[in-house]
Amino acid sequence: MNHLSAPSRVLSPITPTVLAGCARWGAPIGATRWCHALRLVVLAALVFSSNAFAQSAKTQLKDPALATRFNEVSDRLVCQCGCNMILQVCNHVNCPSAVPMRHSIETQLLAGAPNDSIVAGFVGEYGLKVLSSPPTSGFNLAAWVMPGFALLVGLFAAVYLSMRWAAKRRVAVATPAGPIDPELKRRIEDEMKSV
Amino acid sequence: MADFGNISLALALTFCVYALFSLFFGAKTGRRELVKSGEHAVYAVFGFVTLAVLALEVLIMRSDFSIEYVAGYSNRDLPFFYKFASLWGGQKGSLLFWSWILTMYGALVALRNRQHAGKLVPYTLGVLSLTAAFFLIVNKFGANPFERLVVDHGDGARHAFAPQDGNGLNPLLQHPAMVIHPPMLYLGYVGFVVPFAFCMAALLTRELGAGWIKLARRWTLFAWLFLGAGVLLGGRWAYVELGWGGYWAWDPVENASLMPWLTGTAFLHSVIVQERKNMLKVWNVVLILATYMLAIFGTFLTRSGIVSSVHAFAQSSIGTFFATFLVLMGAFAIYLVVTRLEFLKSDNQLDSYASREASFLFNNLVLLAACFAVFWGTLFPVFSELIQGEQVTVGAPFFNKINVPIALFLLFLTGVGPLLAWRKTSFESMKRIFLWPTIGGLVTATACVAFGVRSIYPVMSFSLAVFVIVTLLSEFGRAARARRRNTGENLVSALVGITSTNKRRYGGYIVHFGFVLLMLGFTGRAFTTEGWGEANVGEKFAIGHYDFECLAIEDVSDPNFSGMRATLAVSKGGKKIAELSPEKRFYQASQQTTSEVRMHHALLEDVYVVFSDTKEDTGRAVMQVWVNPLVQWVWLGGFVMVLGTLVTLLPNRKDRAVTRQKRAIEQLLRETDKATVGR
Repeated sequence: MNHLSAPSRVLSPITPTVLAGCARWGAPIGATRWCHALRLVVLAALVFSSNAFAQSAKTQLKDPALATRFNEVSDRLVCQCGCNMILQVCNHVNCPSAVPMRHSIETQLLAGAPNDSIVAGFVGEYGLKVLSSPPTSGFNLAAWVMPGFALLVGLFAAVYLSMRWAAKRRVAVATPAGPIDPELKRRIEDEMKSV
Repeated sequence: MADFGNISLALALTFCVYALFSLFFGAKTGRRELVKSGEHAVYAVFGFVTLAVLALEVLIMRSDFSIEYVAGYSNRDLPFFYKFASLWGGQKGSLLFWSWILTMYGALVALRNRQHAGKLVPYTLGVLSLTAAFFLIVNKFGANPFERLVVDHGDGARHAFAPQDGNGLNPLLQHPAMVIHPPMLYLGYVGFVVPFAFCMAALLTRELGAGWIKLARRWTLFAWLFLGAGVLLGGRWAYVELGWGGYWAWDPVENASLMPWLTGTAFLHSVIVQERKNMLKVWNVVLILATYMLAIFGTFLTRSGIVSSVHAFAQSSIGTFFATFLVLMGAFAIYLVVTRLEFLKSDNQLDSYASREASFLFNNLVLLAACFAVFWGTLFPVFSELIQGEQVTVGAPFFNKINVPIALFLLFLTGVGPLLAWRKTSFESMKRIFLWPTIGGLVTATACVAFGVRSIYPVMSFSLAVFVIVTLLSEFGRAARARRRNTGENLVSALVGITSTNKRRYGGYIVHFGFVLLMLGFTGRAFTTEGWGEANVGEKFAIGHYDFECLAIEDVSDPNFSGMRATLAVSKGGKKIAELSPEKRFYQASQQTTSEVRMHHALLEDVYVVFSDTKEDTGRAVMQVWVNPLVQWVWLGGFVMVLGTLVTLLPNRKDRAVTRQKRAIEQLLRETDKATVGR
């Protein structure tokens, strides 16, 4: 059996209790279907109850804390071979860029370097293009701010317009209707009778 | 055959220019015979472009490598289907294919509306011809697929040259999805030209009532269907072929296809408000213009090389053609909207924020915000380089951070919108209709937390999905119960009955249900497990809750490629569930290495295996494995959305009766006209 950094799964404390309860429910006929359904739900929950978010195993680091930090750092960087993929994702075998970059991250993590300084080292070497997202300073802050700003402007515009439309409606309702033309009234009554 | 293709293109362009002028001039001066002639020219253009496409296909099938395009994108051993698909495998061929679809749409619009009186249709065909003329100019002068290969032997003269074999189609494109994905995508992209043409015609003729909306809506839905299906098929192709375990990477070219789909979705919703309440006239015009501009912009983005993308065609000069066309058309469209504002006045009145029209307004806002975020993120590297002199990367983490909350809000509106009444929903009514959906959502959230899901977005996504499903079920349930009371039908017949009597409404709900499934599939991505394993024959490794045993490692060969295959037995809980044989291939013609992914699909999760390499020292096969929860729900959701759209596209019985009556009246009017002229 050859295990290469298979990710661990941490179940929530409630799961074994529910599973055990389900096993005890097996006998009653009426409960069997429900028990089966619950088992399916629990199975689904097992799939989703992993505490790690998008676990990756592109590292040989055995320490789970370091492996998690490896994932965090490699998610912030882009492979420089031209594939434009996140370092975390690049799957090129023996990639001339991803493999040494990952090795460098592992070495620095083992040496105790903090995440930010590892990322800063790569920025120093390759420039800002090595980051998977624009930094949150200077002009690049605009990348993050503009979508929210546009949404706010849109929201204000929508609220302003809808208030204007609502006011128009109030004016329309407030305008007293004139007396109904007797001829029109007679026609309406005729129509109503014919319905 | 290349000359035949070239002549066909030249004739198509000539007829297209003729159609353009005769249709505009004929409609403006009221000369019916000139309009008729223009319509015939539209058919002729489609015919000549078809001949050009056939000529290129014949050249590809014959392996005529004296033609640059054929030598660049096919080879002798390429299987028949992929040879056929080479038509859209490269820049020049795909642009010819674009023109073919566009002229086909032109011919279909002319055919479907041949009985339609008035100026709207001639102007529409004129605008379609204008766009077609642009693409034919690009085909003829910017990216001609019939150009011959020439070589300079050093004597200064250019000699014709034909290599023994071609470069072949990119191996990554040699996948069944690629035979249908680009045509679907193009049918969508190009399809948006039709509602744009109707809109421009309405602006030009100042006929800005409900007429153009009625004509354009169905075409928009058609284009939206194909673009959506094309995007999903592209995702499916990426998932199966690219071997990185995912289906959407927020690549600029992927983003380019998403943007017009988002504005198209906004239009399809806001058009309902115009039809019901005579509101948002300017807004609808702006949306359809934006959709068209984004469709052309997407083509520009893919072909100009302004952003780097794995999907993009080679950098070429045709970017200038597209940029010029975009600017001119954009300026003309804006001029028309501004000068026609008085004709676009509408009865904008809003009774309450708790109304369906308000929910549509917010739905539009959210969709446009998503579109802007994608647009901004895609082009930010260009802006950054222009302003700072240094390019930055805007990758998946950025898009996910910005778009996930937007998508969740959209999911919430998907549940809320259909339950709100037009004009105003009372508080009492809201309490009644939202009680069960809210309970469903809260129970789901509690269950998620109880089972250990700690991230906020997945919890929200699952809860909102249940919220929307309960609202949709209650909508179907309420209507089916009412029908059963009246007709005494069983539940299934009642459901079929309510759907067939109001296909647009219930088809829309089916689309919403598909969207929920899609969102659930996307949420599954948050729980992906990934790992590496290496094994020789007889050895095992484990990843997640799966065990893998290597059964064989062998060589494979084909006229088109050579490579290696590993066969793995996949077990879960000690029980064998699948045997997978991923391959690593080397394509001779293109000198490229690819990974052939193999998967075990299940509704709950996929096991996705890539044969990465063999270790030189040990001879072990190195495997990369992903366990991807809920991926099948993405495809299932897409399928349900397509199904719902098809239901929506089916004509209602009432509509058919009205159309029959209208046709009879038009026929009568024509006969009366003839009789009057005869006298």
